Amino acid sequence: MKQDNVKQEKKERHSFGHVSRNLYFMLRYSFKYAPSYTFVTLGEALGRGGWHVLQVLFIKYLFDAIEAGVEFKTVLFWSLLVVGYNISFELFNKWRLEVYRPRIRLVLHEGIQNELYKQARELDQCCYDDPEFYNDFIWAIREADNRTGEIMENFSIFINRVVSSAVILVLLATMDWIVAVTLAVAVGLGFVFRNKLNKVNYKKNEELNPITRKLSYIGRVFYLPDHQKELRQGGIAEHLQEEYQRTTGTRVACIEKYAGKVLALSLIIGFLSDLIPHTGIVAYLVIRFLVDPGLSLGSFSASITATFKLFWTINDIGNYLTKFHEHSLYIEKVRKFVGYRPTIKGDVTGVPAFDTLSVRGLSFAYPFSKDGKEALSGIDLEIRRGEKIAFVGYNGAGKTTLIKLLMRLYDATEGKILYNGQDITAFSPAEYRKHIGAVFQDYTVFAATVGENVMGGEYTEADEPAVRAALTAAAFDDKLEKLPNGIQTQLTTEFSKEGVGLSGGEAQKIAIARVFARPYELIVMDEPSSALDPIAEYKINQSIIRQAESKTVIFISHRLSTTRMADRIYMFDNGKIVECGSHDELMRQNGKYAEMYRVQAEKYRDAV
Amino acid sequence: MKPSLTGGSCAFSGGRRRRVWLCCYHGTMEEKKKKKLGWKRTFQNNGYMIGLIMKASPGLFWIALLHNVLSATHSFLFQTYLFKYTLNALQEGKPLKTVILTISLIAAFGIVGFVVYRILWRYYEKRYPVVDAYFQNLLQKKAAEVDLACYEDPVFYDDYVKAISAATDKAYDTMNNLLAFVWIVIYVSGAAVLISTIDPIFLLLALTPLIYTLLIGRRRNRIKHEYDMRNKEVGRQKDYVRRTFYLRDFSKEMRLTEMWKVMYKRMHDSVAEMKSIVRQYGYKMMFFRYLFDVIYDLLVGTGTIVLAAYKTLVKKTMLIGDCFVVINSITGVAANLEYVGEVFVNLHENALYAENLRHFLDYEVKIAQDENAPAVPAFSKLELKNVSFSYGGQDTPALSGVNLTVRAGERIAVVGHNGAGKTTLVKLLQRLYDPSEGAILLNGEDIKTYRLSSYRDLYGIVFQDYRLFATSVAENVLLRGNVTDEDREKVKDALKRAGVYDKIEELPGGVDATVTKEFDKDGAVFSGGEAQKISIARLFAGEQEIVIMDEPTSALDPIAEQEMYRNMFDACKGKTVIFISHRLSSATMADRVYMFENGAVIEEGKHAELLAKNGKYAEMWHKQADAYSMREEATA
Repeated sequence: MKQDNVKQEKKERHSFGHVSRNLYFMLRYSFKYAPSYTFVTLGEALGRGGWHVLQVLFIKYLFDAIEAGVEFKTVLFWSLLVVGYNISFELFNKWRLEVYRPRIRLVLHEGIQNELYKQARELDQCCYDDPEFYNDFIWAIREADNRTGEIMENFSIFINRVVSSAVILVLLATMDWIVAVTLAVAVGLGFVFRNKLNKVNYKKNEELNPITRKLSYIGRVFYLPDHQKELRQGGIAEHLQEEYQRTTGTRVACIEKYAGKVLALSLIIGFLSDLIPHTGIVAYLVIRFLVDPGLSLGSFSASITATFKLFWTINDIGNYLTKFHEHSLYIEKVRKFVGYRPTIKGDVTGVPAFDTLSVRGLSFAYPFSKDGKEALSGIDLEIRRGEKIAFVGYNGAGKTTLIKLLMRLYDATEGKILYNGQDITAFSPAEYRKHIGAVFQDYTVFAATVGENVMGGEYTEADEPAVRAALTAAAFDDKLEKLPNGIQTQLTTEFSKEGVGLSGGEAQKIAIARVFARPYELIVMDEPSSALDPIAEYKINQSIIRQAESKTVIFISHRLSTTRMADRIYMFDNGKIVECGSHDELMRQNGKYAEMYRVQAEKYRDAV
Repeated sequence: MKPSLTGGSCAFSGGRRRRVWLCCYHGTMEEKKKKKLGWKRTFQNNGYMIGLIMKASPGLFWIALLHNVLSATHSFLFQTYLFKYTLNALQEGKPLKTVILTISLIAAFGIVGFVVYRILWRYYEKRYPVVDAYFQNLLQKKAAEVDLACYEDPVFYDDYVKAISAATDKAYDTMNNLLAFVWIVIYVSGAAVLISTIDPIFLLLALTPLIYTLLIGRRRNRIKHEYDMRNKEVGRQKDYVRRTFYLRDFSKEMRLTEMWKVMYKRMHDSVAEMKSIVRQYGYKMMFFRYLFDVIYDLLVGTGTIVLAAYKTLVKKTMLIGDCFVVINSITGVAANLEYVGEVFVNLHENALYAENLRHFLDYEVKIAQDENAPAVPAFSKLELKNVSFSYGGQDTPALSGVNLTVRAGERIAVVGHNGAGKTTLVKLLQRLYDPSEGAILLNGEDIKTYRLSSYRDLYGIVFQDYRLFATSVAENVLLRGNVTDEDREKVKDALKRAGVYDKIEELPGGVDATVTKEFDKDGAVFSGGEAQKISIARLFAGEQEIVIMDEPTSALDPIAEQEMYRNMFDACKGKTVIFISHRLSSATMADRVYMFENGAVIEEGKHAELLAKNGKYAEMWHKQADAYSMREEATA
C-alpha cells in the first residue's frame, strides 16, 4: 500500500500539470522583478521561428524561380528582402544577448536573492543540522537566479521549436505528405525510446555516482593541501593510489553492465530519429526527384531543407522536455525552502532591559541528532543582573547547547527560559537578541572591514570610539595600529589582495570585540580564548573582567583557571547540572568540580 | 620566445609578478603575451598530451581518428556529393539503375557508419576511466613526492598542482581538437574540390568568416577577456555574499548580528557595478558579434545565392544542378572553415595547459627519495646545528640560528607563543623542508644522507592540523592499506590507549568502518576530540623511535588531556618524545625545555632551571599558573 503511494507520488511529480505548475512558480519571479524579460524573450522566439519558416519558403521560391528562368532582378529583390529580415532580427537579437540580457539577469539576481536571503536569515538554525534540507537549501539558493533566467529562455526556445516544427511540418506536408507523416511518426516514436534510455541512464548514473565520488575524493586528497603532511607519512599514499586503480575497475565493470542495453536502445533511437530522417528520407527524396517529374527543384530542395530543420527542431523539443523535468525537480527544492515557516519567532517587540534570567525544567534534544539523546535535561538556573556566571564541564556536556537555547537559535523541547519573568518565545528574536551579546567557539570573521566586523553590522564614523574601545578591550589594539587602513581595513583576502588575513587568535579577538562594541546587557563568552596563547589569554581575561564590571557575564570554559573568579559556577555533566556554587564552595564540596580543578592545577603545582 | 615557466624552484619570481595582474587589467594582456608559446613548443605540447593518451590506451587514438575520417567522408558524401551526383546524372541522362545503385551505396555507407559509431561511443565510454586512471596514477605519484613547499606556495599551487585535477579532460580536449581539425580538413577539402570545379569564386565567399575572425577575432577576444576578468572580480563579491547566507559557518552570526545588512549592501554594490560593466562593454561586444553576422549573412548566405542566381539566370554559365549544390553546401563549408580559427586558439590553450602539466611532472623534487641511500641506523642522537629557514617569498626567517639536541629516550618540550616557529621546526625535522642554512644531524650524519622514506619512518607525528582520510578507521590509524587480522588487534589496542575505542566499537564494522560520509552513507562522523584521538592512536600503533606531538591536546578537555598524556608517556616508554605546546603545564614533564621566540631559541633547560632563571619562560608560566593561584588553593 505504502509502495503504491510512493509510486503515485512519483508519477504525480512527473505529471505534466505538476511540472508546468512548478515552472510557473519560478517564472513568476521573473514576471515580478523583470517584467520586460518575458516580452523580449518571447519576441526573440517568434522572430526566430519566422526566420526558420521563411528559409524553407525562400528555398522553394528560389529554385522554382531559377528553374522557371524568372528575371534576375526579382530574385535579387526577394533575396535582399529575406536577408533584410534576418539582419534586422539579428540586430535585435545581439542587443538582447549582449546588452539586455546581462543587465536584466542582474536585476533578476538582486530581486530573487533579496527575497531568498530574507528567508534564509529567518530559517531555523536546526535546518542546518538536517543534512538533506541543508543540501537542498544550498542548491536552491545557489542557482535560483540563473535558473529563473534559464527557464525563461528554455521556455522561449521551446515555444520557438514547437511553432516552427508545426508550421514547417504543414509546409512539408503540402509538398510530400508521406515524408511529413513518416518523419512525425519516426521522431515521435524516438521520444518514447529516448525516455526509456533516460531511465536506464538514470539508473546507471545512480550506480556510478558513489564510484565517481570516491575517485574524485582520492584525486582531491592528492591535490588539496590539507592532507599533504599525512600523505608523506607511512604508506597511505600508495594505498589510496591502489584504491583508485581498483575503483576504476569497478567503474568500467558498471559501464559494461549497462553497455548492451544502452547500445540496443541507442540503435533504435538512432534508427528512428537519425537514420530515417537523415539517410532514409533524403535518399527517398532524391530518388523521387529522379523518377517523379511532378516534383519541382524548388519543392525538392525545400523538402530537403525542411527535413533537416524538422529533424533538428523536433529532437530539440525532446531535449527541452527533459530539461523541464530537471528544472521541475530543482523548483521542488526551492518551493520547499520558500514554503518553510520558521518556528523561532515572536511578536512582542518591546523587550525590557535585562534584569533576571531563569531556566525552568529545561530539556532539549537536537532535532536531527543521530542517537536521539537529550543534549540537556532538567536544567534549572537563575541569573541576576550584574552577576558573573561560569558554565564548566567536559566536552559535550551541554554548555554550548544551553547558550544556543538562550540565544534562541533553538527552542527548548521541554521547560522554558524566562527573561525578566517572561517566556522568551514571546519576544521577537531580533529584538530579544539586541540585549544579549555572544561569542561562540566557532566564530566567523566576515570579508568586510574591521569596523563592520566589530559592529556586527553597518559601520559609520559615529561608531569609531565604540569600535576602538572594543578592540582595545579585546587586546587587538597593537594589531590595529599595524593595519594599513586602521578600522577601515578589509579583512580576509577573499576578494581583495589588499585584504588582511588574520591568525586564529587575532580573529578570535575580533569576535570578542563584537560583544564590547554594542551596549549588550548580558554577555556570553563560549570558550573565548581557546585559540590564544597563555599571555594573550591572560590579557583577555583581565580585560573581560574589567570591561564587564557593570554587565552580566556568562563564561564557558573547560579551562577552570578562566572561570574560578565567577560569582557562581555551574558544573555540567552529561546534559545535567551536577554541582553549583562559588569556586570555594565547590572545592569544599570535593565533587566533580574539585576533581577537575585539581587535575588541571596539579600540573602547575607539582613543578613549582 | 622563451616561456616564463622554467624555474627550478617553487618560489620563482615569474609567479610573483603575475599576482599583480589580478588587479591590473592591462598587465594581464602583456603577461599573457609573454606566456605565449612558440609554434614548435605548441605542437610538441599537443603531441605530448596525445602521446600520454596513446600510452594510457594504445588503440584509442587510432580508432577515434579512423572514426573521424569515416564520419567526415560520410558527411561530405551525404550533404554535398549526393546532390551533385544526382543532379548531374539527371542532366547527363545516366541510366536510372546506375544512379539508384550509387545512391543506395552511399546510403549503405551511411547505415554502416550509423551502427559503427554507436558501437564506438560505447567503446569510448569504457576507455575513459582507463585513461583517467592512467593519468591519475602518474600525477598522484608525483603529487605525493613533490616538496611540501609546492603546496604552500600559492602561485605554484594555483598554476600547477590545482591544474592536475583536470588533466584527463584536458588531454581529451587536446585529442578532440586535433580530431576536429582532421574532420574539417577532409570535409572541407572534399566540398572545396567539388565547388571549385563549379566556380572557385564561391570558395572565396566561404572564406570571409575565417578572414573576419583572423582580422578582428583577436581584438574581439581581448575585449571579451577584459570583460570577463572584470565581471569575475566583481562577481566574486556577489558569490561571497551568497555564501554567507547559506553556509553553516555564517549561520549563527547572520542571526545574532546585523552583518546581513552589510552583506545586502555589498550585493547591491556589486550588482550596480556589474551593471555598469555591462554598459561599458555590452555594446562593444554586440558590435563585434553583429558585424560577424552581417558579413556572414550578406556574403556567405545571400551573396552566394545572388551570385549563383546571377550566373545561372543572366550569365548562364552555371547549370541549375550546380547552382543547387553551391547554395546547399556553402554555409557548411564556411562554418567549418571559421571553426579552424577556433582549432588554433584551442591548440594554444591546450599547449599552455600541457606546459603546466609538463612543468609539474618534470619538477625536480628537492627532497627526493634516493633508493641507494643508506637506511637510518638505530637512533641515538639528533642535533640541529645553527639551523635557519625561510619560507619561499618571505623576508623574515621562520627559524634563525637554532641549536638543539635530542638524545634517545629524552622528553623534549618545545614551547613559545603562536608563530614562534615551533611547527616549522617539526616540518624541518620530518624533512618536509630542508634548512636554508645549517644542518640537522642524525647520529652525527647529515639527515640528507639517509634514504628519505627510511628517515621519515623514524617519526610518529600528531599534527596540530591532523587530517583523517575517508578510508577505514584501521587504515587511518596505520596510515597504510592491506590491513591484516593481526593489524586489527594492534589498531584496537592503539585506539583503546587513545581512549576512543568505546566509540569505534559501537560502529557497524568496528575498526573497518569508513570514516566520514564522503562516499559511504553509513560512514562514521567523529567530533573534533574523537578525530584527534584517532590521529593520536597513530602513535600507539606505530613502531617509530621518535614521537612528535604538535599541540596534540588542544581539542580535549582537561581530564581527557591528563589521561592522554599519561597514556602517551606510557606508550612511549623507551621512545624519544618531542612535544610542542603553548600550554606550559605539560612542559614540567620534560627532560629539557626549549623556549622559542621569533624563530630563535631564547631559553633552554629544565623546567625548574628556567623558572629559577626568571626569564620569559618564567613569566609565561606564572601567568598561566597564577590563574590557578596555588597558595590560595592550598589553604582551602
